[in-house]
Amino acid sequence: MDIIKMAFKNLFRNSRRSLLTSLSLLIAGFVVVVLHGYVTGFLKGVKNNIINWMSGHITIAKEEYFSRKIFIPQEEYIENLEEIEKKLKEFKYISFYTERLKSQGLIFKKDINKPVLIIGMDSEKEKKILELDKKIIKGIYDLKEGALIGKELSRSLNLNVGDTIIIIAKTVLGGLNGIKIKINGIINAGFSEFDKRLVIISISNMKKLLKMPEGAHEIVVLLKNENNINDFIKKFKLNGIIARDYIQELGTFSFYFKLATNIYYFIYFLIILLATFTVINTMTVAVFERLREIGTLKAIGMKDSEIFFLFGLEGIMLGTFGGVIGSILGWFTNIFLNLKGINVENIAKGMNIAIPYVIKFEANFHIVIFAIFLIIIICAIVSTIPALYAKKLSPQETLRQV
Amino acid sequence: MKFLILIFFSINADDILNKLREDRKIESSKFYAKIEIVKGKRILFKEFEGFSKGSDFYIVFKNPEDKDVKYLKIKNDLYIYIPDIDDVVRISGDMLKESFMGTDLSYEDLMQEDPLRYYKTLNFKDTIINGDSLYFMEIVDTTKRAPYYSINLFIEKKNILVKKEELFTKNGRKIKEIEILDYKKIKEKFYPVSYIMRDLRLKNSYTKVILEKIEIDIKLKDEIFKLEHLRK
Repeated sequence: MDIIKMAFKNLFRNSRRSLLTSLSLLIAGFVVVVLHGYVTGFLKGVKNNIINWMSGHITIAKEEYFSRKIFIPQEEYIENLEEIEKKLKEFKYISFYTERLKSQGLIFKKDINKPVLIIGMDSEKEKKILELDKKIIKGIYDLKEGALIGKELSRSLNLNVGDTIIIIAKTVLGGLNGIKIKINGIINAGFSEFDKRLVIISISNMKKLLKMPEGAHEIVVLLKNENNINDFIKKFKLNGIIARDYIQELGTFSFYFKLATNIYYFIYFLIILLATFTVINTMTVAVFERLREIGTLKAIGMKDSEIFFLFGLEGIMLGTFGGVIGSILGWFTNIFLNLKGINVENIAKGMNIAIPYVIKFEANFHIVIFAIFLIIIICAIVSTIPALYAKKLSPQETLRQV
Repeated sequence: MKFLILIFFSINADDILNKLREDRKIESSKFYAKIEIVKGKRILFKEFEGFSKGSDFYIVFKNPEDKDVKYLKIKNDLYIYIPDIDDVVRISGDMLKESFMGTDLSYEDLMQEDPLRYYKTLNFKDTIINGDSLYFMEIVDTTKRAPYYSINLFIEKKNILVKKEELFTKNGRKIKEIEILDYKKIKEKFYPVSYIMRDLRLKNSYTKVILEKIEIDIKLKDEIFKLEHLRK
């Protein structure tokens, strides 16, 4: 206990140096927590966009549809929706599901056209899964007689609420068909890929466009708990119809998703390791400054292990003090940036993945604990170098050097 | 007469290519075609009536699912009349690479005017396929304007008629195959009236086209090839 007190008091013998050393650990702790908040916030944003707009936790579709999904083969639709609904009732952990119809097509304004992704949606159900009604930035949320289009698409074709557009697409019978429809609303999908090419119409208008009798291309399912995804996929079996989770929708991005998370943990370790070099430096200087004191302490009976413990503890205290404050400051910053978000719309516009326009930092307290724990461990390890040196010194040798 | 000369005298690849180009030139035509489209287990049947004049054409679909869908090509533009909206749209850009009415043929394939003019012979030799002695010609796009980088042609020697075409991308991937099943001789020229086209990028997919009726070099009204005619 006396050694702990002694180590603590020693920190204030050169308070400026101790402060500067702690500051480097403060910055390291802050950077690690904020960087983690940014990375997890970014990845969560991408994941949410994919889950909400593309796949849900699980997408149910025909096997053939999945195998050529990149081309959106509209002829491969589920005909018997009742059979699927009956099957879905067996799973108690389903939170919500809705059907979607998809097609690639062209949107025309006079002689100008653009390729678009057309989605037929149930407006009432999509209020719950997508909160689509809240994404309207102009016009009204009404799919019955009109369409909703992405804000970038409206800008590029100079389209406005009330304008009538022509949409053409391939029918399920391989022909070509079109509909004339009024724009009821302009939406901010929240990411570039959809804002540039998304047209949303009602399911009935989509069926008319695709000349499709009954059915849907995809059933999007949300679960109460993501942990049930694998169980659902294993148990959901219908002839020619399969279920896939959002990870498969992410494709190669899911690999980078996992890789990025692991790489960043390595980067956090490096940041803290670099910062702790200041602890080695400070403590080594402290040992050389206090040679006479070490000699005296040893001469009056202080054991080598106590000397080692004293200097080791000083190093840990220096690092922990800065690390704790920095990590907690980082956590508060994450809370603030989670509420406010950082707008990266200009950067995200050029990307073809579902990067959200606003990145909301994740404020997980576990990273604060992780950062503090890592700082203490690394400080403890690096402090052993000067502490070991101090431990090995003999009283005669130290007193002779002064 | 020209092809007799080719047979009796020494024949070379350029002569053959020129003859093939010459045979494909039609002043005007009127035709009625049936298409069988096979996509995996699904089989679709379509019918259309068409007229062509120079490089322009006009097509009206007759099968119930696509009744009155009309296509009109004028020079480099392709227009479509869609009866459900009673309106005409012009197809352009990426859409031209899309399949024509679900067939293995793209709009771009349809739009090609004398496509062989872009190619030069790279390889020319005799070959035997299924007991038939044929010429084999590998032709390559030298202008970077053709939709396919190279084409392998298998040509019947007697009448210099293409039996099969294999279409390749620049990296050597075979993406389409056309097999001509039958020719009809009209006014000293042979015209393909039945052929199968396969888009090899799609599994179990082919399109069989049968020209049930065809009249060549007939008089056609100019009005047929005018935009206003599409709405009629």
